[in-house]
Amino acid sequence: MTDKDFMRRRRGRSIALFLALAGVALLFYAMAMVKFATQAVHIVH
Amino acid sequence: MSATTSIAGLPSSTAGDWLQLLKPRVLVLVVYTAVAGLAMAPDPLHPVLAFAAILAITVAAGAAGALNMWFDRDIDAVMSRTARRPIPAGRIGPGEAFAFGVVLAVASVMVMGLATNLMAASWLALSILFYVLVYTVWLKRRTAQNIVIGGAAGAFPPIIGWVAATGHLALLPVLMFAIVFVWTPPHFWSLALYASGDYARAGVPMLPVVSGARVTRANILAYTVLLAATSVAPWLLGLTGPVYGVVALALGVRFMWHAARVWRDQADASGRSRRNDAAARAAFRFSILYLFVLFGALVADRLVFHSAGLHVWVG
Repeated sequence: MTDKDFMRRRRGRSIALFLALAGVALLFYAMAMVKFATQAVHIVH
Repeated sequence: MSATTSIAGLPSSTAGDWLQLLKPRVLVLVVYTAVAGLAMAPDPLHPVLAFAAILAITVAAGAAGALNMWFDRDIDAVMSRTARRPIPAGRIGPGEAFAFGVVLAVASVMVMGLATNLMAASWLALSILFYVLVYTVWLKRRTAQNIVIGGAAGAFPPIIGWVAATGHLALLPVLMFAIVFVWTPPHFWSLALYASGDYARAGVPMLPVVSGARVTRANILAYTVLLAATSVAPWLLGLTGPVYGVVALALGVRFMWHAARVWRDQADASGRSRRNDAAARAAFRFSILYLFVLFGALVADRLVFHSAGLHVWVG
């Protein structure tokens, strides 16, 4: 494996990890919003 | 810095290798049956939470697959079908794969618990533990009934999908579990018939290795008849409409036809197929189509005849 291959693979792994973590953060945000909204509906009623 | 001296010894995994650890082809079936369980549930679930639940089930199944590959790395290296997997091929270290699997397993159960309910998270944790401890560690290398009992692990997703939406268990998801459970032996044994050399080399006591091809063919037929009977149970018990009933009957007859072809396959004195296991290969391919169409019909039937039961969350 050459330097170039190694760097390319490492960049690929880093991008995949970033996308996965960003996706998890977005998912937790969306879940929190849904839970808050549901609780708010219960409180109003 | 020289490429050959400083970098050659470092792990050369790609993002695709890590994805391969999750057994993506198996995940398709897991997601499909989990979505079916979720769709059949009478209680609505917000789309965001439903997405989180399906994602959690998918990641949990992937984590179980990664832990399976970690534990089975020695036999994977021996079998031609699995020798190119990331661990035996040396692209990912065993310790890394184990950590990856454990982190994903814990995270998936946590997300399921936060998104839906503790009951669903518990079922999800049970499915991971069952696949890793009961099937992979305990049964796979000890008994020819490994995939019969271990098949339960792959049958959990419809139950988890249902419980994620409702918080409790009911008869229909149990029947969906039973269908996948009974479907697993003829599905895997069809594959094992033409991959038995691989399993024998690795010392895995699959039924064709332990009892021979003839016994395996008879068992495939027996389980397929049982599957055909189990698949119509939701209809006979009034839990589904005629669309599902007709499709289940037709698929059952077709699968039994395939199983009968496997059973009657021309074999030599040792029971090995003279036709390169063409019937077993066809039965294996059909078994995948069978489950997709059957569960598709289950959901379609609910949409057509029991639309009141299939809720779209409207806030």
